[in-house]
Parts: sequence; structure tokens; C-alpha cells
Amino acid sequence: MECKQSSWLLRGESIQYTEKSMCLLVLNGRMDGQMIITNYRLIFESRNCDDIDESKPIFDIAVGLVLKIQKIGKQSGLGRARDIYGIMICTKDNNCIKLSCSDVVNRRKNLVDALNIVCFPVDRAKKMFAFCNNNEGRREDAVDGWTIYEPQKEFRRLEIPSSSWDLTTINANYQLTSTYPRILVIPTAAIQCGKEFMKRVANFRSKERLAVLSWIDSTTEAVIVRSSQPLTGMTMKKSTDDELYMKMIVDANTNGHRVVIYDARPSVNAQVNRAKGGGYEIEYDRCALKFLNIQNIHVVRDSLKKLQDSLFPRVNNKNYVRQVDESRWLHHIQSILEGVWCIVNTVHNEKCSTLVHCSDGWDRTSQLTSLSMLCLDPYYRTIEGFAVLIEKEWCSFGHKFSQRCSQGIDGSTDNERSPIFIQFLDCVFQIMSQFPVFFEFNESLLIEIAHHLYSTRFGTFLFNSEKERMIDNSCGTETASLWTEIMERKKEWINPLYVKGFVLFLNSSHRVLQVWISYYGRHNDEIINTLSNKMSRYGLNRALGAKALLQQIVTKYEQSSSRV
Amino acid sequence: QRMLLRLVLLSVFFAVVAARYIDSMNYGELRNFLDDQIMQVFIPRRMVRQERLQLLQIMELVDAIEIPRVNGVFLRKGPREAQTGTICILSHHLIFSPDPPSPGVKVVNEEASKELWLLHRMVDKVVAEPIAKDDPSRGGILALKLKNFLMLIFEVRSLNECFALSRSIERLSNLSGFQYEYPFYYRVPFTVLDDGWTAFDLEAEFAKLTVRAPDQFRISYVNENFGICPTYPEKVIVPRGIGDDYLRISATFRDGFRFPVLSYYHASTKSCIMRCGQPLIGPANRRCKEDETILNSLLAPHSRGIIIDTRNKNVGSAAKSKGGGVESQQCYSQWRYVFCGTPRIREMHDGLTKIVELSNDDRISSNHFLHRLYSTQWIHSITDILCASANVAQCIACEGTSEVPVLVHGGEGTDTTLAVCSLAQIILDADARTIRGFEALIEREWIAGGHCFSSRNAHSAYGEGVVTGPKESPVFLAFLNCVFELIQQFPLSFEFTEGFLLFLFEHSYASEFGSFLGNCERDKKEWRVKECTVSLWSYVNNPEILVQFVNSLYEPNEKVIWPSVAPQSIHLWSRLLHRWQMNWDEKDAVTKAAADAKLKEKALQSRVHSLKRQIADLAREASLITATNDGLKLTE
Repeated sequence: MECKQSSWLLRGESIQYTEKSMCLLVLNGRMDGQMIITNYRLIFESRNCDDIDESKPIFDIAVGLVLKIQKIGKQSGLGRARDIYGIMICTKDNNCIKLSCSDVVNRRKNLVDALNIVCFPVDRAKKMFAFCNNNEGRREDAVDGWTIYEPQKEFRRLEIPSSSWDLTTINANYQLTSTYPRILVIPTAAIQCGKEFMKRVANFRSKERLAVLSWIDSTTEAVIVRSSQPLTGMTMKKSTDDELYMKMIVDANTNGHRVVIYDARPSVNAQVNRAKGGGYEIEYDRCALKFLNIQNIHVVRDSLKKLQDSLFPRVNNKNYVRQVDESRWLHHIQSILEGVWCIVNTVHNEKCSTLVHCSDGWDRTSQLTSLSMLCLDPYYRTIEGFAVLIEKEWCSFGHKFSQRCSQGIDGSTDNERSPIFIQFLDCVFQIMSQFPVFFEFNESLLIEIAHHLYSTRFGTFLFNSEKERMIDNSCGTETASLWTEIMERKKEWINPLYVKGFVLFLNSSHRVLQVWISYYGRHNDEIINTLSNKMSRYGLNRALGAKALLQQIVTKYEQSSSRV
Repeated sequence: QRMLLRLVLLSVFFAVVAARYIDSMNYGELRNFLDDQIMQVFIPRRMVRQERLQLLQIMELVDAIEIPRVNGVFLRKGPREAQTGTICILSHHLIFSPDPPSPGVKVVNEEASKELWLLHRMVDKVVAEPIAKDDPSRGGILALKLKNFLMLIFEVRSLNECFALSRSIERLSNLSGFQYEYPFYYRVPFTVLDDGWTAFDLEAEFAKLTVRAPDQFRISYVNENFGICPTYPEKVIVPRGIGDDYLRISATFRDGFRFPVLSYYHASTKSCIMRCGQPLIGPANRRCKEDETILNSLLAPHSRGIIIDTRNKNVGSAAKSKGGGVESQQCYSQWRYVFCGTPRIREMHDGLTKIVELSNDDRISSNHFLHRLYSTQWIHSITDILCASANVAQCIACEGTSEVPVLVHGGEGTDTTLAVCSLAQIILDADARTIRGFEALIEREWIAGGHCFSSRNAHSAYGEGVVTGPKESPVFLAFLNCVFELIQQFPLSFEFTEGFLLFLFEHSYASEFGSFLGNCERDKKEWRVKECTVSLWSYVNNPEILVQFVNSLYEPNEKVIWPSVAPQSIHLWSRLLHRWQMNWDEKDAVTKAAADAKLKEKALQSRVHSLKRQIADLAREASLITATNDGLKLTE
């Protein structure tokens, strides 16, 4: 038994608690078995090994995915049937498990306590699993995920014309703005104005997130610049420094004579933000302001909740469509994709530079910039490029992963929790279904990334900014990177039909949008069984199998010919 | 004498035509026009008897053309970018020929400079209106709404010409009477290698059946000359032990004289699908012992059969007062009765009209789009039909240990009954998922099965009110849509592609081939369709044509394909409904890439084989060399 268990234990994983007599309640009955709690996952093993092939665990949930743990039955009165006395575990990826346990005194309490400790370690000032599972033991030649994105290398790849834009180390100690990366790209003209000027510019933006370059089209010099909202406030404050800085951005593009500013928020929300000291650019010289009407994190959270409810635990045949419709999830996806289309159009067709921001510039802004770059630059549609894109636009420019995904904390009632990153992956999925041949990776990669967004096994998505991640918590040495794992299992993500494309002009019409059921419904067996994505996997296996066979034959052939 | 008659008639015809058009055309055009007409007269050479009649018909067709040619028409919206050109109206076609590009302008798009040919039959609805209500001098707009949901919008300079065009097209597209149908005038530009009219002969099918089920069925010629049932073919397959006299009596008890006949025999479970019309039980509770005997003859001792009614319970029982009804439990005690409600033909028609209207609406906001989409009920119709078919398939493949015959009927048994029977076969039988098998299925179940194509497909989604009768309904399209859902769920198990379904959809509404002409076999015989027209299958089975419909990823799959009818698995058939609104290049690129990958795989495989052979050769050589070396050593 010990030997068998250790086969699935990851490096640094250890069993914390075992409850021998548990009973899993499934849709059509119950199953006896034991529950094993490790510092990384919860596992339920059926006692009757004939039930399942190869005695695989019935369920296997990474602790990071647990959203809430609830007691059901008897005292709390939540259980429907009288004989249920146990716990309910809800996860962030739309799964819900009910277990009943023996009602001997304190058995359940002990179990729940053990669960709370492993699932919400940060609440109890303990370390997350990522810090136990470090890089050691990897193959020597493995790609180190932490070095997959290096700003210098990436900006060199973009061929930034040094006359107009340049790398600056002004934020090397995260003094200028703590949520930005160390290396920024700003107009050369601004660098020449000195540090004080930059500070004044940054001070006019919320959280000092000033406008910096994200992407540049080296042939047209049109750029995507990101920032947070300007702090105009109720009094319509103006900053000559910020206006001068914007002018520098306009001038940096010799082809365009103006900058289009995309404010991701609905204009009403932008107005409301003025009351809180925020606002939007008014009367900037040679700048056009457009609102993209994308809703905020709270709306998105509630919307996804409704969508998920329609897919789990079972699909309501009669009301499914109404529920999907009322969740308005596809509507939110559409508004993002429309925004992306606008940006791509401005940058590529009009050859104009764009500035993208929302309120703080780390939720909707990241979505818009990264999706636009995905459409504009074929590099980001490779597996490596996609990793670079996420590292760059999400991890280094700051996204509040720990609050949005409530990592290591009990966030079931947290107002800051929101599936912004999942929404981004959903948009990638929508673009991928429109342009299936232009992506080197397949849907499985998106699902894998979505899984590890919550799993806390890797350091990639922990904490809120580069500073917190790399300096304060030194994830770079203490934890493993998701990309190491991804690159190691590269074969699984290959799209056999991949060709390198050009700029993608996506269709944001509601006619083409679809519900990403293979992710949101991944714990609903009825849905998973009916999915046809087996086809791509099947095709891939065949292709790889044929390739391997060929390789084998060729080596044999070479051997025998050399023998001769 | 016949030649003489022909000459006389021709000269009369020339005179009439010439008088009519001499002033509106110059001489060259007139000659072309007449050549065209003469050609059309002489194409059906085999129709010597009807030649005279046809000549008159041509003249009638020509009569309907008020204006044969309009210059300087602007195509504002259509399957290609906007351009100016000329509209010509021939007796069966509308031709839009774009003006040649002005000299010096480079032709960018080769496709766009080609002529656009359109069968009048394809036009579903014509709308003509002035561009500006108060200013008739600005000309008119001519909108042609086609049966394949495409919309063509022309701007015509003169309002009068616009109305004349509209009236001509309206009349030509709604002519009733077989004699006018284009297939009778169509001459094949290819050699027919494999005649579609004889390719799917019932006796050949029956020979295959007898191998699998000897002594169970026989071919009955009871319906010779359509004496019993007008909508059945002359030859039908019935249970072996049943005499023709029983069939005759049973026919009087079934709606439309459609007595039970075999639709499909599933060899592995020895179960069969039979179909028929509803029993005419009526308010008087009639019964028919002979009909009961026919059905019971299918049952093995102790087995029970299943009757699947494609109506829902209310409709089924309500039919009783109108003379129809459902088989009573007392008389058919060995049969279980199941209602699988499928939509009625009117509901399907309304559903299609609404969903096409919705998909044409470009300005619609995404606000509650899904809800509106589903409230059109079209997708419900598809789900219901698919569900009923899956039920039938389940009865055949899974119920019980002994064979379970299934009898399917609705009201008349010519609409959803056929859809359900044929879909069940596609689910059960791998043969029906090949191109040839699918063609055979359509020929057998739909065309010979008596689906009234001419009535049901007289109009599609746009026709309304005055022009449509109560009989129009997209039943066949709903069937194709169901097949699309199956392809969607089992993309590797079908030899044909979605494109084939769209091709069939278009040809079932307007075609140069005779396959979908008429309401039943009797009509076909009466109008000598099989002698005078070309079968669609003759065209499709040409290898050069066929290749475009082949699914390159096809892997024969002998298993039963169980479809999912859950709402998240049923997709909107975008290619059908958004075919003209969206750019499909991307999707086509994927298909092409997949086909290329498949080809590459084949090439790799053959390379593997050749390498294997080389290895074997080399190994033999090597062993020879070692042997000789050893020999040399020995001698040393």
C-alpha cells in the first residue's frame, strides 16, 4: 500500500491526514472508501478496488482548487436526506463533492480542521505547496520556466527602434511603482527628461502605473502602451507632465499622428471613478478616447457563477439555454473580443499607437493587451510565445492573482475574487476556435494552465506582482515554474494542424461564440463523455505514433547500413 | 412527316419570337437568344411524343419574360463584392454578367468577373421597390431572396424595368406543372458512367438483405401501376409469410394506403424497422385483423414489438376524431406503444422562417441572442427528431434478448416518419454513413418512400402568406440538419462532409437533376422523369465531383454511434444559417490542413514500408557477407 501511494506522491508532498471510513455520495448512489489528505491534494480511494480500473483514485483535487468546505447534515441542517452527515467540498473549477463520514464524536471536526489547514494555509500563516515542490530533481536539460521570459530578450525580439523607445532601469528597485516589472520601455525622449519627470508622470496615474510599452510593430512603429487611469478626480485635474509624456508617445510613432486611448470601462463607470479620485483623459492633444464597455470584476464573477451553475451538477435540458443566456457570460466575452478587434484594427490597419487602460490597469487592461498581441503577433501563438505572453502581460505587469484566485485563503466570500484570468483563457479559446490552424497549442494547454492557476503547485501564478513574487517571496528559487512543466510535456499540447499565420482579424459576433463547456463542465461526466475533442487527441497520437515509428525505422536502417 | 411538323412549328415559333423581340435586341443578340431556345427544344430528343407540347411550353415560358435583358444593373449585395453588370432572363435562368473591367484596371478577383447563373426555381421571394419613394426616377431595388437563404440585392436604373424583372422572375419561379421544370431541358455536360436511376435498384438491395435474413422477407409487386398506394413505389419489401391480399386489406386500414413495409433490417440483433401510415381507427374504433396479422408475423414467439408514434400523445389521440388514431392496446397486445413527439410540419416551417430571419439580422444585439435563437424552436425540432431516432435505434440495438421489431408511423407517414427511420439507420448502420450508402438511403427512404418533395420544398424560409400553401415544410432540411449534428459529434465516422449535406439541401429545392422532382414514384413515372432527366446521383458519383464531398478524415466505424441530445451538444448549423454572412475561409483552411496531414501520414506510411523492405534486403545481404567471410576464414 505504501509503495503504491508513493507512486503518485509528488516531490515534497506528504500525507497529512487519512480518514479511513468515508462515503462518497455520487449522483446515483454511494461509494465507500478512504480519504487521504496531503499537503497538495485531497484523494478519495474506493475500498472496493474492482470499482475502478487500476485502483485509480476516484477524485483527486489539488488543495488550491478548494473554494469552500462546508459541513452538511444534522446540526447544520443543509443536507437534504436525513442520513447524510458529512462535508461538502466546492472547488473553483465548478466541482462539488459530498462525502458522508461516521458520526463518532469529533471525527468530522478533526477532518474539517485538517482540510482547513491544507486548503487555506496562508490564513494560518503556513506555506503553500509550491514552496515544498521546488525545481530539484528535474532533468538537467529541461527548460527552466523562470527564464522563459527575459525582458531584454523579448524586447530585442520586438526590434524596438532605439531612436524612439528604450529600456529603462528606473524601476530597478521597484521604487517608482511597486506593481510594475523592473525593466520598462518608455519613449527615449522621456528618459532624457530625467527621473524627477518620470516620477511626476507616474504620480498622476493610479498606483503609479504609468504608460509603458507592451508591444511594438517594428515595421509600422505602432505600439500598444498600457497604464492605469489618470487621477483627474472630480475637479478635472490636469497634469502637464502627463500630457507632455503622451505627446512623446505620439511622436515616437513616425507613421501615426495620434494615439487612440482605449478605456476598457463603460463610460458610466469611468465617471463614477472620478468621485474616487480616478478618471479618464480629457482633451489630450492628438489623442482620441474610446470606451470599450467591459464590465468590472464583480459582474464577471457573478456571471461566471451563473454559467457554471447551468453546467453542474447536471444540465437542465429545458432551461439550459435560458440560463446560459441570462448569465450574460458570452456577452461579456463578446465585449472583450470587440475591444480586441478595435485595438488590432487601430494598430495594424490604421498604424496608430494605442494606450489601453481601465481603472488599475491590471485586469481588463491585461486581457485586452495580451489578446491583442495574440492576434497581432504569431510568436505568441506558439507554446513558448504563449508562456512569454502570460509571463509578460500578467505576471510581470501585475495581476492580483492571490486575491482574484484566492490562493491559500478562504475566499468564498471575498469580494476581490474574480475569474479574470479564466475569462482571458476563455477568450483565447474563442479565438482558437475561429482560427484553429494558427495556434501551435491546443485546448488542453488552456485547460492545464487554468488548472494550475488555482492548484498552487507552481510559483508562476502566486502573489500579485513581480516584486512580491521574486523579491519578497523569492519564488524563482523556492518554487518551480509552471512553464518548466509545460515545456517538458510539450508533446501533449501540440496542435497537429499548426501553421504560422499573420494578423488575425477575429469575428466578435455573438454568432460564433460558444460556451467553453470542456472547461466549465469538466466535472460533469455527461458533458465530458459527449465531447468530440477526442478527435484532435486521436489525430495527434496517430501523427506522433507514425513519427516515432519512422524515427525507429530510420535509426534501425542507419544501424544496419553502417554495419554493412 | 414528323420532321415536317417540326419545321413548321419552328418557323412559327421563330416568327413569334422575332416579332416580339426584334425591336428590343440587335441581330447578334437575337441569334444567340434563338440558338439558346432551339437548343432547349431539341435537348430532350427522347421525348418525341411530347415534343409538340414542349415547344408550346417554351413559348409559354417565353411569354412570361417581360423583359429579357437589363443593362447597367448594380449588384449591391450578393455572394461577391458589389459590381455593375447586365441581367439577362432566359426561360429557366437568370444570368448576371458583370461588365468587363475598364481597360488598364487589373482584374484582382478572377471569380468576381464570372457570370452568375441562377435557376428561377431557386428564387423564393421577389421584392421590388423604388429606391426613394418620392422619386421614381432614381430607379428601383430588386431583392431576390433565394431558397438557400442567400439574398441578392440589385439596383436597377429604371423603375419600370425593375418591376418588369420582378414580375417575370416571380412568374417563372412559381410556374406549376412538371412540363416547365428545368431538369427536362437540361443536357448533361459529362458522360454518365454510373446511372443514378438504376444504381439503387430495390432488387439488388433485396438480394443483400436475403443474405442476412433468409426467408424473412419478400418483394411484393402488389402496388404495380400504383394500384394500391399512390405514394409507395411499385416494389416493396414485406414480411415473407404475408400474402398480397392481406396487404390490400391492410392498406385500406392505413392512412394514405401506406401499409407496413420494411425500412431497415439490423442483422446483428435480427430486429427490423417497419414504417406505415397511421391506422384509420376513427371514432368507431375500427380494427383490421389482417393488419394485426402482418405485424404479429414479425414477432418471434414470446417477443414483444414496439410501435413508435412520431406524434405526441395529444395529437395522436386527437387524430381519432378525424378518422385516424393510435393502435389500441387490446388489438395489438404484443406491441408496446411509445410516443416520441416530433414537431409538426407547420412548426418546422415557422421555426425555419424565424431562425433565418434572426440570422439575417446583422444589427441584432447580443442581448439575449441565445434566448431568441432557441425560442425560434428550430433547434428544438432538430433535438426532438434526433431524440426519436435515437429511441428507435435503442429499441433495435439494445432492448431485450430476442429480436424487437419496431413499427414507426406518424400521421401520414411521409414526413417525420421517414426522417426518424432514416436517422435511426444512420445511427445503427455504418453503411449508411458512406457516401454511397447515404445516397441509397435518401433514394430508398425519401424519394421512393414517398416524401412529397415538390409540395414540401416549393418554398423555403422567405416565402410567406400568398405564395406558400399549407404543405411547405423543411422536413428534409431538418433531416439533413440532424445528420449534421451526428457528423459534429462523430466527425470521423462519416465518409461525406457537411458540404455534401448543403449540396443536397440546395438540390432538393432547385436543381437541374430530376431526383427530387415530383411527390412520389407515381409522379415520376407519369412524367417519365427517369427517362427524360438525369439523376442527381449520376452527377455526384462522377469521381471528379465526388472527391469534393469526401471527408478526408473518414475511418470506417462499424459501431453504433449514439448521439447526445443534451442541449450543450446540439449546435447551430452555422454553415447553413450563416453561410452568406460569415467568412468560411478559416474553416476551409482547417479542413484542408487536416486533409494534407492525412496525405502526409499516408506518404510516411508508405515510406515506412519501403524502408522496412530495404532493411530486410540489407539484413539478408549482411548475413550473406558474413557467411562468405566465415567461408573465407574457414578456407584460410
